[in-house]
Amino acid sequence: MTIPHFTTRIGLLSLGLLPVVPAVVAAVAPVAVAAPATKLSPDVHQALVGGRYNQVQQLLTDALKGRKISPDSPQVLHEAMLLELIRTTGADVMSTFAASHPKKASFLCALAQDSEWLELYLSCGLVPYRTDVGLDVLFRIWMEEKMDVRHKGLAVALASAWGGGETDPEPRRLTRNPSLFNPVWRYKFFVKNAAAGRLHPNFKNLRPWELRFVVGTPWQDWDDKSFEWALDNINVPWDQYGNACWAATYTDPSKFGDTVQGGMYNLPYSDLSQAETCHRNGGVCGAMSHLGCVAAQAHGIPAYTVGQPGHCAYAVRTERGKWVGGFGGPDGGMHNRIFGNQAPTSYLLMETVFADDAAIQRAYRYSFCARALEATGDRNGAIAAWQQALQHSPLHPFFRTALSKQLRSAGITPNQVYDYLAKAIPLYKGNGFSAVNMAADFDKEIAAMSNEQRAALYALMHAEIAATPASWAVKCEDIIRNQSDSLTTPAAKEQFLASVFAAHMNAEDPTTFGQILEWAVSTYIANGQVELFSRAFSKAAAQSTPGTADDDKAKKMVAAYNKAIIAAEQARSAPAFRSLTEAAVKLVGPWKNPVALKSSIPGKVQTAAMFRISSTCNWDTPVRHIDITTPTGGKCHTAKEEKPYMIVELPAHGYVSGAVVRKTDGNEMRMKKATLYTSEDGATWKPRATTDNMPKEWVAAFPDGTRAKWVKVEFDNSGHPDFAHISHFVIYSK
Amino acid sequence: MYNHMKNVFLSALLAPAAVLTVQAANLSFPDVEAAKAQADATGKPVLIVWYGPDWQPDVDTFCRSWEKLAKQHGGTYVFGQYADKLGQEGGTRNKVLPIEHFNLPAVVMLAPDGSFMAEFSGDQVRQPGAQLMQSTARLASEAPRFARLVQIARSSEGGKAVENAAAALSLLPIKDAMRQKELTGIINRHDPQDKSGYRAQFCLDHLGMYSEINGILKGGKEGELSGRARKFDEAEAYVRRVLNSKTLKGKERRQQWLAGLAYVIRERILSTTTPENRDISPLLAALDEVVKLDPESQYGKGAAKFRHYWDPTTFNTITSGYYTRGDQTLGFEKDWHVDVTKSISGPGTYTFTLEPVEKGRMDSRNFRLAVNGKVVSTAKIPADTNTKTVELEVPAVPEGAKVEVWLTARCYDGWMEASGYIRMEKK
Repeated sequence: MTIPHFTTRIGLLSLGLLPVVPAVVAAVAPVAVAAPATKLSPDVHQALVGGRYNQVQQLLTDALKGRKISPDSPQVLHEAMLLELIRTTGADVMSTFAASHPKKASFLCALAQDSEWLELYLSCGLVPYRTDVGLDVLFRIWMEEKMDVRHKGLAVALASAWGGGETDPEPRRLTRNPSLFNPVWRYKFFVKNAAAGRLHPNFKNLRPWELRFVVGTPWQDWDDKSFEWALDNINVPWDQYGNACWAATYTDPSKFGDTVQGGMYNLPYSDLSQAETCHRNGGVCGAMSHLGCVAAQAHGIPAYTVGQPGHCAYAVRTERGKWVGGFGGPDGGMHNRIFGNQAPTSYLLMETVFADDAAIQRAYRYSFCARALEATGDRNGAIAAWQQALQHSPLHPFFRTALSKQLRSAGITPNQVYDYLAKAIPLYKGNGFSAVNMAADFDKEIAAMSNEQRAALYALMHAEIAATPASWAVKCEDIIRNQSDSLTTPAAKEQFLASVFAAHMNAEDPTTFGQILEWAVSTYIANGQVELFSRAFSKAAAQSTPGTADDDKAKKMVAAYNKAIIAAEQARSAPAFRSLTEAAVKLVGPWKNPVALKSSIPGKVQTAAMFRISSTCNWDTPVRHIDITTPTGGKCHTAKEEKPYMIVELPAHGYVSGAVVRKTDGNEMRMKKATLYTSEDGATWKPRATTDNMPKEWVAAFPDGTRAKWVKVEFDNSGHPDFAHISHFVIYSK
Repeated sequence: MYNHMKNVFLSALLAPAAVLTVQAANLSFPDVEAAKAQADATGKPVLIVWYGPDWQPDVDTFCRSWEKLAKQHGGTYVFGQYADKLGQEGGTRNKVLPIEHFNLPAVVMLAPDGSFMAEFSGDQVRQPGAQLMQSTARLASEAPRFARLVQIARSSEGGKAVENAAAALSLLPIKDAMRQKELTGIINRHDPQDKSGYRAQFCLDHLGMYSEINGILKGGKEGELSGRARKFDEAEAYVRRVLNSKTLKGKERRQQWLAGLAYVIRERILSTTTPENRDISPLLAALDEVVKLDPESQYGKGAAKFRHYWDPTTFNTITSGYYTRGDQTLGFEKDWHVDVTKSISGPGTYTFTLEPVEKGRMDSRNFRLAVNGKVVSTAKIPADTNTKTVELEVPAVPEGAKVEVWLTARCYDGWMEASGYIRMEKK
């Protein structure tokens, strides 16, 4: 399909839109250097001293109007950053803070005039928004340090962790006991222990956004004393903190008999730190994951706890970009995060955005200029500055959102959005799900595009998603459902489905493919659109070049197919069952463990259209279900049931003479009482043979003239649910 | 300032992606397998030094100390090492060492036949010297006997196997004895009904003990009795039988089973009484016994906390300006004494407020002002009014006097998450 180009570069430029692609060029390659000393104007200084931040804001805005706003001018940059501090904190909030104590006013004055500190604070990922919590943390550290903060990066990390950011759930209200969760205490703890050489050697190199994951968030992570206890009492090789949760014993009930679900569990040690309590008293996944997390953090290693369905886990960052799971992490809902809370999407994006210190610094500087240009009313200038910021950090979601707001207010058209997204999405290498989130800023414009444009954008997104690390925690169903729903014709939907299958079928990790298969089976096959599904799947499968059966990827692929085959069976779709089985067999090869039947019934073996099982379990092998209907056999395994059964569906109605059912090897004591049924409509079943003690190989001849399209074997475990597992269910005709 | 900032960025730029390590320092001792072979040949016990040559702070000093110690005691022990280095596959340590430990450095003591005997950690290992060697000396002298008993237990059946396994375990510190999976397995296998009493002594940690107790309470392992229908008398009889057994030895083991007794008594009281008609004294007596055995032990401190919690005559003292879960009592009332001395700036009317910040239902009433432990005024509302804020009249108080607000509180939330700020402000 040709991707239509509806807009031209000139069209984009008329809106002040430059293509947002990474800066390739060495000539503008950013270098991480500090700006030279700058000085605020006497008027601004006077307003600062007076704590009049509305006035400071106005003075700065007026002063910047008409000037060239560029990060290359240290003076302008300083003024833009101060303006950004006031915008994000709120001029009234700052004025009130300054008025509450003369020393607070002095602190704000010092911060405002310190462009290095401002830049660190405003570049740490999450900047406290409409609150004085972050400033109060900095103020307290400033006081502790006698007005000369030595470790500004650490200080702003604490301010960010305590104050949250615009997207945090509870940024303005800290609910923890301040005597147990004290940012100044933590500042001193890390400074002292770094100096003593007790922290990970890389601690001193961590940037503020990374330090957020070391100092912990007060509403999730453990109390101050836990850091001290963990530093003294959990010491393993730096790269082993993913196992440190096991420093406590998995215990329920407690030493005094209390269940972890009750309030008494930790009572006997409630005056100790949370870490020591857990160590003494034990815990389950929640407490133990926090223990592993705080053990890493206490040693200067970034870590976070993570919520999972019915479980808690954690993650540690052994080196930049590499998060390692503890207790089943790192995926799930991150309790400490910068861009969204869904791991791995969230941390992958974060690591990409902040990977290059110099580039992200340059990007932030452009973002401060963009905000200043917005403040002065220069929308086109702001758009250009946001684009510059994104040239240096193309995936920064806050910058993207800020730019999209400006573009929409400038009246960007759907065609222009198409061009913008077509260039932006391919930049999201390894961050495909974030590309989808980014594009959501333009939902309305996408809805107004043609089917072809939408499908083309979706194809770009799925190309990136397929190249993105997959996880059980990241669900693709909603994405694909929304995308499919947005396409208005069956042909477009079919084409879309084929392109999605093709994109994901050969993905490095087939987890997402499995999700898509399940969605497609339940959406199309279960709703009578088998042909559409089969055509799309066949088209994609024809292009597929699967790996070998013994590599990890192939195993995952087969697992995905197995789920889809079961779904096809449940949907009673023979075409889908066949298509999926054939595609899976390409991966695993023919059945390697054939068992020749010792018995048979005179006549011809009937080729089955499909095979269906009453339930499945971990021991089941759906890819081998179809083989069960052949003399060489296959494998199937139900869950524990009172009456498990298997059904063979024949291609057409006909006369059947009997069946041979064979148990799999092992556990033959199961499956004693059995009955064979036939049916002409798949709903009304006639018993044809029964046994109270089924032999290993049961040969059952049907009465003459038995006509059927379906044959069922059912086992009777009444009162004692049990498994059923057979290797053969072969139907014969005369 | 800007030079400092340059340094910040430069160090970030220069930081390699991989994990940095400290300077590696190694011990000259043989590895675990070689040390065990030497022990087998010489009949000496082994001390395996388990440490981190490429990550442990002060590893140079550490290694020097151990080299020196090994020279002094090489006649008594075989010294071996397990260098827990960076980059090892997970689980490697479990294949080499008989135990897991998460606070390195540590020392693992093995009998001459390679059987695990004990583990040492903490400052005595970090700065090894006389204290550690005194701890190891007694065990070292018993090491040959321990190895013999282990061999007999392994090759015996029935009571003989149990007696020898127990005799071997009796030679070890109880914390190490209970980690001896092979020997405790022998006892469990040959004496499942615990006729010897050694299961209770060596095999049932608190999880095992509560499994047994709860099994009895609910009428058997598959039983479904609950609430007041549970078999409290049978469970108490079982625990008391263990406590009266001659084989139950050591304060810690006794404390564990006394905690089990307290649990049975508490469950009976809570299931069969209401807060108004409750006699808590049998529970307090059981907890007192736990504390009395060793107030400084984990069980002792925990039991003391529980005793305070359940005792209706005690009160919670709050000094931090914040109340939290540790101050809560679930389903019954307890008094709080809140220190507000720092908030008093002279006589007058003050507003005392409990400002909740976390969910969790809590009733609070009966607000009083106390100076140096004596009530001097009460809030001008009925004592049974449930409220979070009251006005209190503060009289002139002498210099250095302790001013408190006393109140009565009760929490209803199972997780006891009622918490928040406490404010005392002059009107």
